[in-house]
Amino acid sequence: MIWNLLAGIWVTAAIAVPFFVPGVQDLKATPIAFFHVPMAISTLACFFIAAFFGAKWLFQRDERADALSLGFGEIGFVAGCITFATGLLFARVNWNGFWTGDPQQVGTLGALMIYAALLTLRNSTDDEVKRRNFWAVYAIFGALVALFGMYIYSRIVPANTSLHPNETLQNSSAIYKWAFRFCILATLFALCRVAILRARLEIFAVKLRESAF
Amino acid sequence: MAMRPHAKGLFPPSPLIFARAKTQTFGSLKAFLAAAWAVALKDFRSEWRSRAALSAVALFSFAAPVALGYALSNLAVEPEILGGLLWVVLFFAAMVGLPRAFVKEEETGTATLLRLHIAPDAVLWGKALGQFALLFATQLGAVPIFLLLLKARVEEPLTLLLCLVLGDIGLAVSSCILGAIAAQSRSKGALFPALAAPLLLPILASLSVASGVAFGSGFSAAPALQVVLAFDLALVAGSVFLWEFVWE
Repeated sequence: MIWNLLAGIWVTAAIAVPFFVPGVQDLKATPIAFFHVPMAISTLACFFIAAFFGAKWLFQRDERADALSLGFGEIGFVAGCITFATGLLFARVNWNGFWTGDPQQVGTLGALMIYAALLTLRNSTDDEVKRRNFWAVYAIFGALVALFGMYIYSRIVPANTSLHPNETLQNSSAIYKWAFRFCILATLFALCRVAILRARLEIFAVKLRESAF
Repeated sequence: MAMRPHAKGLFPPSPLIFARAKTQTFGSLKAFLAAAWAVALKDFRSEWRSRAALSAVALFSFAAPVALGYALSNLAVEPEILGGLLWVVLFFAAMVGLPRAFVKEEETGTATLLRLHIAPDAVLWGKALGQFALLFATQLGAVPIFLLLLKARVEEPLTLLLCLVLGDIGLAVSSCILGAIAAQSRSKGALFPALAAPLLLPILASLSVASGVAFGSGFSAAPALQVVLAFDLALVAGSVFLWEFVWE
């Protein structure tokens, strides 16, 4: 309970902080960036944690690990949708279009498609072990594609293809960097809490299914 | 013609039985290769009898460029767009035929026989070899038709050949692990394109860029081909490690 309360307070503070730091030069609507970037980093982290627990299920047959993998996969997908939506808003304000064909936008959409397929796969079979195995295997491959789509792809395309202001934010003053770190940790912590709660729910659901049969 | 019963039964013994015996006896690389080859040979023979996947892939590979030829007959298409169109055609053609290899095994119950008689890794490599051969054979006919109908000029043939080989390796290996998953699901082959399309996006995007270079876009194909090679290696390594969990 105390952890959930802490997560709530931390996220509220992280939402408030961007409104108290001055705007970044040449960029409008910078408070969205303080929400969008930490959410993107947390999404990728969630996908990797889902893959890690998926591998743990495969090699140790730990049911808790499978539930955690499911929790982080689902929460990562929701966080990815929020990242994508806030990215669209940021693009509309700064570059006059929701869809700018930015490699990072395309890559993030590709990563979201992977996790949409993963969620479809979870209910594709009635065999409990098979569905967990399929989820874990696809989550491991999915983390690779997500890394490619959300991080590598925009960095291998020819220069000036991407509109993403990565350098602008990285080269900004110390107050921005600390505000960013604060927001990243807050988002990651809150998403972890929600994912753990989802995992508990899944463990409970599995027990109910087992007792029903 | 009347079927001649074999001396020890109705049908001659499957080559898989010999492959299994060899694997058990020697347990060596030679036996492993023999088992993988036996699986591939079984797929070749089975496919040659029905030609179901071959016809589906070949027909789609020929029909799609014809449709594109109608739509783009009076337009000069840029090399970058041609590269993208080529891989859209080849990818969806592959999606039509590749899941057959595993769906057929599950439907006829022969998947259980394979699980019992052949080491999982040998099944993976045998199936991947079969899928690669199917893709490459159909592309030998489909790519020239694509070039002819879309009036594409190949400026760098070696780059295009490299794109086809690397792309087919990625498609063949991923189609094994995803095909096995899709075949064991409720919706069978229908799930396969939904699983394969997002997973192969990095390869398809890079192959489109590299093929565009082969058609004369003027850039360097090396970075895109490096990405394809890296992703192929990741897919092969991932498939080798994780195959057993899908095939168990």
